[in-house]
Amino acid sequence: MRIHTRRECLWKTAAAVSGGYLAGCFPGRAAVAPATPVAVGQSKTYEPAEVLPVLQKMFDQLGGLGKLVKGKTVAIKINLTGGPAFRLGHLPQEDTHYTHPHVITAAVHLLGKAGASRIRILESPWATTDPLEECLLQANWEPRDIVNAAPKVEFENTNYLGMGKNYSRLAVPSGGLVYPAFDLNHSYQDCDVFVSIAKLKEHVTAGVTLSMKNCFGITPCTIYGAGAGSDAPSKRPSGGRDPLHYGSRQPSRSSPAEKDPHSPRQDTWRVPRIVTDLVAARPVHLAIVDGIKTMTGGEGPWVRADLKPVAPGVLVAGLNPVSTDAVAMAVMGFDPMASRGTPPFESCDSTLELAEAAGLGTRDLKRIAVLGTPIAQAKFDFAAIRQKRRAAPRPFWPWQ
Amino acid sequence: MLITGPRWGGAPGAPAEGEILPRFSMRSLGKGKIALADSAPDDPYEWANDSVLLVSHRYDLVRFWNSGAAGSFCAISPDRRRSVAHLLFYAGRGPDSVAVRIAGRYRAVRASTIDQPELALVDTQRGADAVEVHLPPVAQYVALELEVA
Repeated sequence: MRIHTRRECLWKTAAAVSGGYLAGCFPGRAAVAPATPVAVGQSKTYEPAEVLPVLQKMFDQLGGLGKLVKGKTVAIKINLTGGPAFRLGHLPQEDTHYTHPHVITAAVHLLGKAGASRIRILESPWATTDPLEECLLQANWEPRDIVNAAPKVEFENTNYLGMGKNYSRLAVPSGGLVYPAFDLNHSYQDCDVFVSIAKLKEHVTAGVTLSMKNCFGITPCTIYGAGAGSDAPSKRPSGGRDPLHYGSRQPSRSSPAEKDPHSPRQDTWRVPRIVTDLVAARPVHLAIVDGIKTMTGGEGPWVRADLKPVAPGVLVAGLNPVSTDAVAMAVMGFDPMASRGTPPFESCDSTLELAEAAGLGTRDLKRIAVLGTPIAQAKFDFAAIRQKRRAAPRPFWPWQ
Repeated sequence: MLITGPRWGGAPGAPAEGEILPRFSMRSLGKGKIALADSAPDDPYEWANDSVLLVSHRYDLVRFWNSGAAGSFCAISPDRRRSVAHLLFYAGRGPDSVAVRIAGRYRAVRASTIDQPELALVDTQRGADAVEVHLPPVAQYVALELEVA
């Protein structure tokens, strides 16, 4: 059994009340956090003929994309969590834990139609410098379908230096909860508009993974990963983001260190705060959450839980990631105002609460205009499935 | 495609357009291409991986999911009507829910294992240019017999 030090116990106690503490520190910030409308649409399948008009209508409800993207370089962070060789059962990744290529293609097409001058698809695939297109091919996708959806579409693997000459330093304007700034692949700075296309999922560490948590993957493992160089970034990423999860080591010395290396080493404390810092440093202009098909029980097939593929048939989009995630949480049957101790944050802090307290956006449904399909009609009850799953005996894992 | 390093010197041909792989300069020569590494290879794994990427995973003959460490060998009959794919899984216990994509147009796939050597039809999904085979729980070895469409 691991013995906790007095400092860790103190931090653990602090973590338990941290949401309230933060809100208390910035009482005005949550109240004035930006409130923008969020659109909800329903699509039973990923057929392009169904997805495209639904997404088009949702963007129209948000006021159209033209004023946001016309003549601009748009970067899109997609979600390809885990390696391309993992599947839940025999199902293709996009039916469970990857953002679906048809949602990406539809978004790219509509961004191009709205006048985006250049569209860049970004992701940091697991422990590799392989071109992103090659990772898509290994997942059985056809990258040319995405490239041909609009003029000037490019891909970049952002898990290392990539095509840039240097890493770009993006500061957290408020000073940050864990990190004051991040060194990222140039793509996250060399864009005018940043889009997060996420999957509607639960998350073992962060409760839910939506448009904000998707941004955890913008950090290059050459600096923030288990195999990062100690003085300078490594040439290639190796391993995952354990140092971010557990604070097991600092980033490469060439990059900004943690503000307080004695802060809690628990991933359930760190990950929500680091995500909040990342979203503050690299603001999301358009958040899209793909919940047409997904999974319950966790963020990927490697999670040791009773995982199930499900088909909520829903898409959520908004111009503010906190509000978009709040509506997505409500669609999942969770209360977006929930704090640590309440589902889905039974053992972690709420990224939404921290982001709201940091002034990044409101999670209060009373302040968010929900356009399109009402939440009650779009609701797919992850919360009830979660409650049932957690009440059941844990599955037996023969290799444990 | 010829893949070579800087000791080759100035490569003939014209700069090639299209997909770019960092660490290499591509040149077209006749019907082929020359991939010239920017620096001398210092990592055999990276060199081998780059060789696959230069050709592209688009042309993978066999692709695995949920297999863990695995190997494959494919053979085709002289009349090109049947193929056999030998699949070997290196884990101590056989993997679960393995899917295998085999490039080519096939209408039926049968599997044979050491425990059940008689050929039995397996669950497949046929695509335009490949067949995806969904294997039942298996041990370390499976032979797939594929019937060309």
